[in-house]
Amino acid sequence: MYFQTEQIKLRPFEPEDLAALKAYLNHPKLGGRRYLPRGFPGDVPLSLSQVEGLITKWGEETREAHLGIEQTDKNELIGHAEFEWSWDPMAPWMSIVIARPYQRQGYGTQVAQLIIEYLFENTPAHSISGWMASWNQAGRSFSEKLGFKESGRTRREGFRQGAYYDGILVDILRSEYQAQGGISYAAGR
Amino acid sequence: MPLEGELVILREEKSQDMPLLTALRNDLKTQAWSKTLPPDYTENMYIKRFQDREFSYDPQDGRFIIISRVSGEFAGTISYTGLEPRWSTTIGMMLDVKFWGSGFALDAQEILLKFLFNELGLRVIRLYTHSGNPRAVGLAQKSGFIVSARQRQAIFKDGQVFDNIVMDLLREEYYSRHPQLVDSLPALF
Repeated sequence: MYFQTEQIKLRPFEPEDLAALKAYLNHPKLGGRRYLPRGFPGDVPLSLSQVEGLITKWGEETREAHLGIEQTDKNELIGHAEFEWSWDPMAPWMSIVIARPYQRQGYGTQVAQLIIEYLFENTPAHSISGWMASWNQAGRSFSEKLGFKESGRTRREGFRQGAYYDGILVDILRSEYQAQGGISYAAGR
Repeated sequence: MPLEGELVILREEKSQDMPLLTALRNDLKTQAWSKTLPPDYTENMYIKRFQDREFSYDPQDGRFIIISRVSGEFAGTISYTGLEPRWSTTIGMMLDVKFWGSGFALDAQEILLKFLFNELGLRVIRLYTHSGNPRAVGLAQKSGFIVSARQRQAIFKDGQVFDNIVMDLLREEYYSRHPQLVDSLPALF
């Protein structure tokens, strides 16, 4: 099964997720790395109706997948993941957001491996890209551990805490994924 | 008054431009991205696109026709999209092959940059091209853009796989190349 490990599963958002989604998105430490669609604020707290609009928007996109990350033990929503191929299915993008209390426990790695495996084993993707702010050191080491390489930056992506920051672009090639062991690379296989 | 340079002027689109825009769009040489293919765009599509443009005092993009100052001929089109007000935008251009090497592209690019930095107060301007289009990279470099990212194998065109190239130009870099212009926009820090 592509979207599940022993600890987590990726599944669509439902209206019942509203409160949990709002709660973790509005955690102040998640500001600037919520990975929301254009038009939604990157760091300003979101209202319940904005979060409702977000779920609707995520569900409307036809060349993007937006999935909730559920911890299977407690059936709790612990984050969201997306992959999108709106520009080119050969070069999709992915991103993962883990709620603050669940970070640094290996959930993000499991989610990333599921998505990378899905894209390389089931779509024409030959490179997968990701993006993070240059101040997001945790995100940068996370992507590096997964085998992504830095492909450069978009300079002056934004302004935060009194300083400009860049966007860091990373990518992983199908050949690199295969060299890492292909299917067996995903946890628990 | 249109935006004027030494060799070309940039003016708004007019209905008479639609046949020429269609021809430009259907010339494989002026198409940077294979995802926009096939070259079967019709004049009616362009007329509809032109007519559907709505009035706004808060536009998020700009589209201009490049006109030869000497002959008044249509030479191509230049635009900016995805405007983040007072922050950034992405530019793009298509020039009729018969004007390649004429200096028109650089002149048009410089006119647009001056408008974006001097009138719209942007902090950074970006453009996207690929490693199979060294002319576009060279043209951007002539205005001071640098290659800031190179996403590996992200573009397929003309039977080949190319790197996606991200280039950007910061506000201070632009003004230091144009000492005759004074940047009176306050620094952010």
